[in-house]
Amino acid sequence: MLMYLQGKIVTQKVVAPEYNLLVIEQPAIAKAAQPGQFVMLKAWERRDLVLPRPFSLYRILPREGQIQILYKIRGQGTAEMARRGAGEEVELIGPSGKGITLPATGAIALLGRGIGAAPLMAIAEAAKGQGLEVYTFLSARERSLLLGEEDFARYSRRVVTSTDDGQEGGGRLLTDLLVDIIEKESPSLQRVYTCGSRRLARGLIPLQARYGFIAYVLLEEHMACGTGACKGCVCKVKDPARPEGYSYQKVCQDGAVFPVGEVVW
Amino acid sequence: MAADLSVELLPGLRLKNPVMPASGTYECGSANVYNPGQLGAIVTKSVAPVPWPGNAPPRLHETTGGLLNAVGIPSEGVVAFREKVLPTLRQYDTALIISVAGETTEEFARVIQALEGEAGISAYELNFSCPNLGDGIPFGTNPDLLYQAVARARQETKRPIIVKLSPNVTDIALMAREAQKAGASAVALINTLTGMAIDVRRRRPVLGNTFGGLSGPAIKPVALRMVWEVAGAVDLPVIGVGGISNTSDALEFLLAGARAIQVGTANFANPLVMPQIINGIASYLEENGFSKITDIIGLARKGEEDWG
Repeated sequence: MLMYLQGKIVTQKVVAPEYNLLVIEQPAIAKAAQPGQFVMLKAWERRDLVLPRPFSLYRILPREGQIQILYKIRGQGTAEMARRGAGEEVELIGPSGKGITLPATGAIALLGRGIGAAPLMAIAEAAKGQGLEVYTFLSARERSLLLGEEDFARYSRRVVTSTDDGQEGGGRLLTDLLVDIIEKESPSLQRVYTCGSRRLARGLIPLQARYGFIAYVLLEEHMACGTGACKGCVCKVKDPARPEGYSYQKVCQDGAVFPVGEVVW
Repeated sequence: MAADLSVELLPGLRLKNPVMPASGTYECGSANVYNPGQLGAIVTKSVAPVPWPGNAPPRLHETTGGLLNAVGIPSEGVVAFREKVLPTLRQYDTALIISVAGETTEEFARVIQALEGEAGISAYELNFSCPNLGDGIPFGTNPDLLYQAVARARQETKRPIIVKLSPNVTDIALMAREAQKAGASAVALINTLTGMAIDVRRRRPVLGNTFGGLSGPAIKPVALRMVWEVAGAVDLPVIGVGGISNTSDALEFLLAGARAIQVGTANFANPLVMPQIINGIASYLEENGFSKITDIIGLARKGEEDWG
């Protein structure tokens, strides 16, 4: 059930250059949301910015009645968001999307590139809470842009990092670092979730059969409504029933989580 | 006493209020935050004769005060629509308007044929924004094509036909007159204004389809002018649409002569905007001493003939 509600900003803090963490009090959404879901958020009265913006949920805290959003300041909407402070209100539509379904037992791996780490935190927390082993892999351009490393460490058996400048992980691809861990530690890996890099998502496809896990990607798209009405946020998904061999699915409603092997890259 | 919001859109088609969604901007289902039965009418996304996936992404781009879309009218096709979607739409206690799309005159007729045996349809709205399969010119921008398509659809049904007019023309009143001559029961205007955007970083058009339709607050003054013009040019009910985002916007269209209004892009940012407009219109009427909405329709034109 989707809701359209006001939320109150509890805090907003800068966590890295151009990355902010927004803590919002909104008990109904915090109670209903599942890891992998997202909200549409509007934090401005300006009528020239017509649409709300989609944001994944970094943390879902039903007991505190809060949700947390980790975001990158990239355009006019996020610049406006960054100007809001404690006590101010935002408009929220959600929770949207299907979210993820964790395996019953075993281990999962999370591969996040840049801001792609954001939705993985809620997954890590839920998985740890359910007794699963979590292996987290983070990459970014440089050290200061690795997001949530400390938080991930709380929920993960291991956090592996890599930066393009080679200071972390020798600048290696996260998929290669994942293979290293699998070979060395043989975790009972059931599911892998990735966000923030098409290259990483594609790189997981051949590893699935070899290591016996299923990989999912959390896709990002520009959205108008986030609720399935506008049909604007589609991605190509394999569909043998169609003559073209694919059909368009809505990232907002059919995803944002898709098996990497089903997406036409 | 509460003001009477009901309008007789067409002979035999009374709406409980004049507010309805613009085609393709509102879905009835799990995403609703209120009962769609509160609306003056439900307008469906456009139904094509056969399944069509829509355009390649990217399909959306926000502009200053507007939204460019090149969604391309994806449709499950009229048969799947009839079997799966239509039964769910009939459950709501309000008028139901089916938007119809096609690439040829015959395609419009085929969609209507496939729906004629179905109960619970209040009217058809013809969406002429698709390029015509023959010469690639959208139906809505060629008066002869528009006439032919409306006349052909008229042969298929006794139900009301609403023609949605494109603003991408030199003379929209001429298009409205063609629609009337061909047997249209009402006109809805405006559809989106054709536009585009270029990504300067990639040095390529932003939209997968290069061109898209501009909607949202940015187009409202254009829409309002065209509604004013058409309401004065034809003897047909006019439905106003284009950038309506709040009560005041809606009132402007009613005062210009629209008998009903459609809300499009504003639904995306504010899922409650349509009920808010319905309540807002009621408050406006009461605060200004009007007992019924029909008292204000076209009121801004009062004395027009004396203006010289």
